[in-house]
Amino acid sequence: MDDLLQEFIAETIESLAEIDQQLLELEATPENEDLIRSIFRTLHTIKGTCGFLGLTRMEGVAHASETLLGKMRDRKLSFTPTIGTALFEALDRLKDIVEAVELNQNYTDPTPDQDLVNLLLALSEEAAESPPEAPAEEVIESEFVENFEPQESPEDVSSKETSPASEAPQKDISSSAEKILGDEVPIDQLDDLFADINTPHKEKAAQDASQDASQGDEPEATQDPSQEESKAADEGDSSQAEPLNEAPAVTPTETASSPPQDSPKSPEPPSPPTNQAPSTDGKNLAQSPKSVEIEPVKPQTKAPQRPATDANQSIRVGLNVLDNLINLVSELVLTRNQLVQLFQAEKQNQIVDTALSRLSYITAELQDEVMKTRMQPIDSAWIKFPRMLRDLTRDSSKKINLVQEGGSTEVDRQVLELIKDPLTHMIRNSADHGIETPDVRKESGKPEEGTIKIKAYHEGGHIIMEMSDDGHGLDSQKLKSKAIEKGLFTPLEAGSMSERQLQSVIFMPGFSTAAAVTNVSGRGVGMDVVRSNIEKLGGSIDLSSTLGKGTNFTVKIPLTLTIISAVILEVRGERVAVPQISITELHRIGSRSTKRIEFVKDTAVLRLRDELIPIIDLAQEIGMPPIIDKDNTADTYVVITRIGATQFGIVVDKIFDTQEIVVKPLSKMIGDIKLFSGSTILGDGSIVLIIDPNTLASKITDNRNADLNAANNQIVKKSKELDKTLLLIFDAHQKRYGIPLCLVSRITEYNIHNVERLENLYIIHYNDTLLPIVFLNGTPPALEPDALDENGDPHPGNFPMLVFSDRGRSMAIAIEEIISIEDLRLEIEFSAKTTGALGSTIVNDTTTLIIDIEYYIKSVFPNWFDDDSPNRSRMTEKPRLLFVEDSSFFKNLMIPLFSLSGFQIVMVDNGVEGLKVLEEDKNFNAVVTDIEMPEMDGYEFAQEIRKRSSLVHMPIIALSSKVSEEDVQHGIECGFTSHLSKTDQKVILEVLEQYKRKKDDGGADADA
Amino acid sequence: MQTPDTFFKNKHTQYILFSIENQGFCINVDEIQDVMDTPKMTRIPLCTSEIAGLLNLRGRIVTAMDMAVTLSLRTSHDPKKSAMAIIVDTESDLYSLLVDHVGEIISIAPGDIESKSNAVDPRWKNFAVGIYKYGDELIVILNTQKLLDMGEE
Repeated sequence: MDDLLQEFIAETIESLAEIDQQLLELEATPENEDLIRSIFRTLHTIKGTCGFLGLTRMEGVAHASETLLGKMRDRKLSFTPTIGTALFEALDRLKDIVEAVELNQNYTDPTPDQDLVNLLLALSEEAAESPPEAPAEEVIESEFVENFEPQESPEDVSSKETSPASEAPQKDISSSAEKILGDEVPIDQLDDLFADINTPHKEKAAQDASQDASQGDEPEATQDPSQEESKAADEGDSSQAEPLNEAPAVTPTETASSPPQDSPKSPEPPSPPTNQAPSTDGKNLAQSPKSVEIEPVKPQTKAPQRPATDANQSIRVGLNVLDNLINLVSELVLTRNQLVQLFQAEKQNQIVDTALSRLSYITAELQDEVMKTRMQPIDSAWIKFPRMLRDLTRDSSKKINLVQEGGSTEVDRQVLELIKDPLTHMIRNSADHGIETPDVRKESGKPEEGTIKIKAYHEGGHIIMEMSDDGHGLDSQKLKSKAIEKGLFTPLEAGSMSERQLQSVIFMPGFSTAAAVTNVSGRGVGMDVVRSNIEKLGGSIDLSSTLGKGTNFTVKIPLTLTIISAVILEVRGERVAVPQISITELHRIGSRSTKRIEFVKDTAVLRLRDELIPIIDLAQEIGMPPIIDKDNTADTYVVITRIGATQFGIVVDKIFDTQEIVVKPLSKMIGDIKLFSGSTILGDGSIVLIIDPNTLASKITDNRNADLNAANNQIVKKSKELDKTLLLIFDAHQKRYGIPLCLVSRITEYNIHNVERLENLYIIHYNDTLLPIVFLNGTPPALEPDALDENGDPHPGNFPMLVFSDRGRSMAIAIEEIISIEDLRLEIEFSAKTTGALGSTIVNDTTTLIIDIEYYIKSVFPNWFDDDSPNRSRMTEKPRLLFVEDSSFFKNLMIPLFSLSGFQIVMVDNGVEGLKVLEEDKNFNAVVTDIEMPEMDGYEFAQEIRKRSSLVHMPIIALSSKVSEEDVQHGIECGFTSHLSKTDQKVILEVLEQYKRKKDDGGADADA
Repeated sequence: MQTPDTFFKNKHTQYILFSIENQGFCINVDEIQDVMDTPKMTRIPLCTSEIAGLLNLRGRIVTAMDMAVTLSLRTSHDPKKSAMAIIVDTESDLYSLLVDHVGEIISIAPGDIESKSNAVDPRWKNFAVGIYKYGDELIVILNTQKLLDMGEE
């Protein structure tokens, strides 16, 4: 009995869902009698079965509804919205009762339904010529005395023939049944399957034949008074086969039914069980209620008016059967692969080869077909939307038209189950928040009726669903103020956000746009749940919205969770798989690439199109020695991954290829390792683990993002506003310092144990050289012998330092901690009294001293900047050039050139300054000057030089963009030694080469 | 005449013998699906030391547990010593118990099992059903379910 009840429940849920749809259709086309008849029949079946099973409460409601529909069917009553609402109410009640039955609650006491029943009956009484026989007739029918009135109208036949225990025809395989116990598979797919596993031809032929036979007979039936009757006949047959039914052999159905079912005594018709013989239903009940339930064959020609409900043939198969099938097929695939590998070695045997390739082909086909059995059309997730919107619009006076496209797009039923709720939520949101009331819509020039469109299609292994409405769209400004009010971000952050970023705020937890909580949505759990559910599926959601025009959501989900496309990676010799859907880019780093891994604080980052992307070392995550080395010497790869808004890179050793893999769950014993979402077997039989990128993403968001966001924002801004300075903020000796980032050549670490004292200087060994290091308070930090680092390990003595390099010399400043990188217009607020600081500025509400790097450099290299001092100590024996040039472009262009050819350069902006330098320091091999300059041009400058006796012999090389005969002549008159074209670098270097030596010869006296 | 009581008491159960570090153990044969040489395995990072890896048994993924570690006979998985795999099918997953050697199948009457007491080494108390004297050797009879439950605690 329990099995019977279970089946009844599953089936009734489906039938009710179908009625739901049909009622909606009926609302649109109240004159459609076929619909009325269909609903009537289905209700009648339910009622009958209830009576049989003793579900009196349900029977009462069903009966009252049926009475009402009966009146309509007999044209004694026409459909009105009131009736529609009452029927919907009845439908909901029936659903409730089914639930109650399932939970073993009240399903016998009819008192709670009395009001509803009365309402339904009252409505049916309203019919002007309501004859009292109608209800009576129904009662008779429910007592299964179906053969007493053989001359009844076809409709009546249909209603009474359906005996209580007979199974209602499974009309719509896509109908949504929450409690479905099995999966429904179109028969043709299963037939293919059977063919694939080599069903003996005889059997198949027999099957075909009997199918043909029944189909061949059916058209005869259609010659009877109405098509309905033949359908009714099918149903009638089921009751005949049923032991309870004591129907005599002569029934009206017989005239219409096919020969195999002629004998009512035969519980097993000659057709094989897989055939869609209507009588199988009866057999089911009588013999083994648990066996598959088979829907009567309804040839298409029979049901031209309701093709959707009748065309599909399906049987119900337990999910575990399908799962087993899938498992077996994957084993078969692996065995096939092994066989192929075995025989590839010895390629002589032609016969084996042929057989193998045949096996390969069939296995592949079989795999495809088996996978299809898990697929269901997506619209079974949508099936409730029309009803939902109907109820919603009735409550809110809105008018909404739902447009569905691509409902037959197929998706794995597991995905389907999981996507249902998020979709429902989104449609509700669109209806509740998106679509405006008719008068508002009118005002803004839109049609009164709003449109919600839902569309699905396949795209590269994914199913894309687009949900759009033509409502008022998202108001970014409102979202902004709301988000600020909720503390989701600061006004400052909000200011720099794009329209799209602002709109995405609706996906953030705790954000709901509805000003008031309605019974539809606005309860604060909203789009964030939708997004997280979709992402759990390995999918993504995106939105675009135009204020006043509407909102458009795009949901992308994988077709199946069982087979995914994954990239196979290698980390320290271990292969792992990462789902491809989350991967956006692959990059090579290391010596053969321009890309480098950099470090912001301790976070490894990759700079990608002006964005710093945090990097995860996968080797470290799986407990192996890290791959990332700070020198970037190793050749590695970075897999850029995006999970929602979090983007990060995974460092791996190797990237293999993309494969379609069958995801197998991990056993309980290792299921708690969150990093892995499953495992799979590759073509060569080896097992690899599948990385769950969500786990990695959560690590990023947990630890490092805060640091990085700051730095990242700066970099983004930096690319926009070039007039600002990037200031590196750091702590040292309890003080906050800042230094322009452009001055720092490296941020690295030193070890306190490597610091040595050399007179007044501290030096450290760094990369095989001695590097002077400055401690801002004068002495190295004292490291307690038992000091611990943040992990509680003995402190290794490593501290960060900033390295400054210039012209082959380097020095370091020891610091304690890097705080951030700030982008500021550097306004030093007052000149500091502190030595070593240029002044202070306020950064993020903290007074920050701006380091006077010159001071510290001088303390180490007194002569670093002293190239212009006459009594400089000769650090180098390099030849010296005085370069006078105002254009920074040419400065940047020429200085490397001069440096490369071995000169030391003193740089000034114009002739006046040049003269000043020369008056104090004549120790230059040559003066190189531009001609077009402010203050004092090149000609005047040369004349001034020549006026001074000590500089009479100083070579003056003029560089100019225009070198005409006239110019050269004028230049020589003014005292130029050479006059060269700025663009001819080769000549410039050749000329300068001469003066390197000249100083050694005759220039020495200038120094004397 | 056997009374029903003694009949059930003497109804023999078959056990498969195996040894780790020369200590004999056995488990009920009914729970075993397969015995094979330990094949190539995929290591699982981050897991506990008793889990030796994943192996591919005709397309099904099997979690391999090194019994030597579970039974505290060795501290870590030793691929050279754990040469044999006994495949056990639980309701949800397949597991493989890695042992050093697999011996014959023996019948033991329930009456011959010394129910666990002080005779059982404390390391194995959680897994042991009892002790069986097999020739000169003392064999520890293990409860498969308990061996596998350990990982979930």
